[in-house]
Amino acid sequence: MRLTTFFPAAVAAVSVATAFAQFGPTKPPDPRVELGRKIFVPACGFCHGPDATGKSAPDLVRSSVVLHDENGDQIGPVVLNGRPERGMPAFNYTPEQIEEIAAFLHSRAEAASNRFSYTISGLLTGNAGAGKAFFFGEGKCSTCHSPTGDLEHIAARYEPVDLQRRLIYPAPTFMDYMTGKKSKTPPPAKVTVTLPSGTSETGNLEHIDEFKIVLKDASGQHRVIPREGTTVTIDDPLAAHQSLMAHITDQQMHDTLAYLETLK
Amino acid sequence: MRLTSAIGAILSFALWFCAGQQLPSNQIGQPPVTMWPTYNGDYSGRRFSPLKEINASNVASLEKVWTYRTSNSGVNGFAGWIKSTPLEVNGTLYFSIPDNVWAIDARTGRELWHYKYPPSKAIHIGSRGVAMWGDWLYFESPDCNLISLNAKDGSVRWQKPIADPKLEYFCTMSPLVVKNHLIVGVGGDSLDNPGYLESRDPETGDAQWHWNVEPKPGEPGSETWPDIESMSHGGGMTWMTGTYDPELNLIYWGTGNPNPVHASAARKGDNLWTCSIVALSPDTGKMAWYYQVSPHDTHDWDAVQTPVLFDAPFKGKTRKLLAQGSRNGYFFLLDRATGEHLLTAPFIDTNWTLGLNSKGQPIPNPKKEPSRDGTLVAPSSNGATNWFAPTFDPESGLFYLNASQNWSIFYLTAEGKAEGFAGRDDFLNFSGTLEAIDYQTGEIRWKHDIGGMGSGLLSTAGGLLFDGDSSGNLIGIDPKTGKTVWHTSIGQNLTNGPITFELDGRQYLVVGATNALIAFALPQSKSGGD
Repeated sequence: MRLTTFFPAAVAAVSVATAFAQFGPTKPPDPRVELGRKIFVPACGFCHGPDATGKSAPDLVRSSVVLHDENGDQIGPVVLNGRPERGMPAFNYTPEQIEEIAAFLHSRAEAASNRFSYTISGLLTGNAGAGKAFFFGEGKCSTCHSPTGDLEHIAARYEPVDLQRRLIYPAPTFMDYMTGKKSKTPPPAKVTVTLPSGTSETGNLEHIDEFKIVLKDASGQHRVIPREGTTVTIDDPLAAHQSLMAHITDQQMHDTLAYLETLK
Repeated sequence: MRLTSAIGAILSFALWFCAGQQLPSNQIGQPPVTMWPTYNGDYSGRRFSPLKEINASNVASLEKVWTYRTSNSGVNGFAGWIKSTPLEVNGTLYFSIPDNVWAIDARTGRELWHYKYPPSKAIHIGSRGVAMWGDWLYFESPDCNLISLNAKDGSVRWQKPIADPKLEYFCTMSPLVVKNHLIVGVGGDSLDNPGYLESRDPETGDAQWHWNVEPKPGEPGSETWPDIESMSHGGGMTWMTGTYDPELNLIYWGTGNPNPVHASAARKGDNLWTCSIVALSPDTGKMAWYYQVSPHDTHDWDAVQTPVLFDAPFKGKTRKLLAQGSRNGYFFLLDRATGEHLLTAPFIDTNWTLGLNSKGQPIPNPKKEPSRDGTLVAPSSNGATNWFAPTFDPESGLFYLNASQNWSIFYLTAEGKAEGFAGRDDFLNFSGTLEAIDYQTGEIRWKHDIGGMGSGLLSTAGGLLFDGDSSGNLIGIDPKTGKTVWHTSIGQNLTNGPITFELDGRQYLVVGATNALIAFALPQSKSGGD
């Protein structure tokens, strides 16, 4: 039984999200970071690189001095004294300016180490014409979807990264929680449970595991049915997406995204 | 008469002297019966118990004996779940979550003491447990202090730093006691730190040896990195507990994946000794052999999964074997004396390789590396399996693990110099399947859907395999057929590895489920005796 219930996935996602709350989406920036950047780039960037990842002088993003620094207490002495034996001059900055440089450098380390703050971009490499052909052809998307129906304006509703994921498997996921996004839940699967007595129950599938089925019947009532001795058939609207996950190529994925991006 | 009473006096004295030591280190290697004295129960990593009192014919009578709920830990949510495998020694259970160690009475669940370490800014994600040697416990704090506690009352004997948390190291693993060595590993993949394994003196905490996952310039393996900068920031964390063969006197450890995690171009080459199973001398740290299960990994698939040791027939001859169900989706079988490769087989459908090379290593397909516009890969960065303990049942001859057929889209995000993760992946689905692998052929004998991956496994001579599903059930399974023979709803999902032990002739089964430790046993009237 390959159907994965949505509920445990959501629980898992939220639970892991709380663990990674120490990562999470970026906090509102400290104004000293931008002030520090304005000092750093012209004064230090020539040797350390404008993003502090190093050129002729060391990478400061992973620097032990920077990572141990608190508000400039380690960085300050290096900046004020320089490292003459290694060719770094001394800089006569004020304590405020040193705090600002330190804030900028800390923001660089934070940006590198917090992967949920990374920006995903550059997705639109596919060919919209090929994507349209896939949509109406091999991909069989048009069996259930229409660019003038349910997918009208789809590109206005989702960012490219989310559209690319959802065209394969349209369900909220871990990354939505981590990046603070809302994502539409899929329509429920329909389940029919034939009991040992021969009677059937049907409804929207809420949960299924080895031991029980939970469905919502036509009147809106939740029914919990022990699984033993029953026959279960599930009509999962995402079945075609489950299959797509295993078969779609990267090229087809990029092309279909390019086509869907035209549906603004 | 006087001679026997003298001998009696000497024996009594010897017993009294030894009784002062709760856990002599030479007891750790025995198959776990009255004790579960180390993370995997014994040194083999099989998580197989010889106990038969609970068996397929009476498992339906199992009842809950006690529940212990953690409180006042200061750690909420996912990080505070019990992921540690408790130790059971002399009727006391010792277990941990980040910043916290508890001792509870194994028969009653009553708390004996609770130690709290001051909270820190280090990443809190989980703790796999404590180690024990003599009367002392050993615990890695999230900010990478190695702390030795008195097992009687949880008081601190000493603490020694084993890594610098400011460099984004964080520590979670359960150390391994081998003779007079305490083997400790480290974690921390956010900012390209070098990984290593250390041996510490269990009396003082001082370093005995230090083995680097990345070679130094000029050392063997350095030719698999393009330059010193990438090699000295290459990652490769040792965040899970390894195994040990006392006859060969070798420890076996899986190393983590290289950094920057998703950036291939920054570190062209196989990147040794990341993603490798290594055999080291526990006395010197010298490497005897290695086998790299994921050359040049770019998907966050470490190889820290338990290297399980067993002696069994392979192609007609009994051999000293080592098996790993690896995060990258492949099962590996090696000769643990020499490192000779014996078998590689996928245990999920993967899409990232160009096949296997002549050494049985998967050849990564460059087209399936993370990319700016996204690459669809099976498995996701979570892996086809993860830290959840596997088990090997010598009676069925099968290797069991909780696996996941999952996909995600991998993105490369680094602009300019790649550092840290340099990308991330977008998960498409979650799934979980308990799989039984025939180690001789790699064939998957049977599969049992469990919904999601979240816990480890235990097998017993009672003909039972214990697992948890993602619907809050503890399940007893026939190891030969995969059929469920018993289950009970515990309301929460299992989050650690189940253990079993015998006290006063009664067999207990203890599982961790989020913030509760729960013990099961047969009702007293049916238990005990032959």
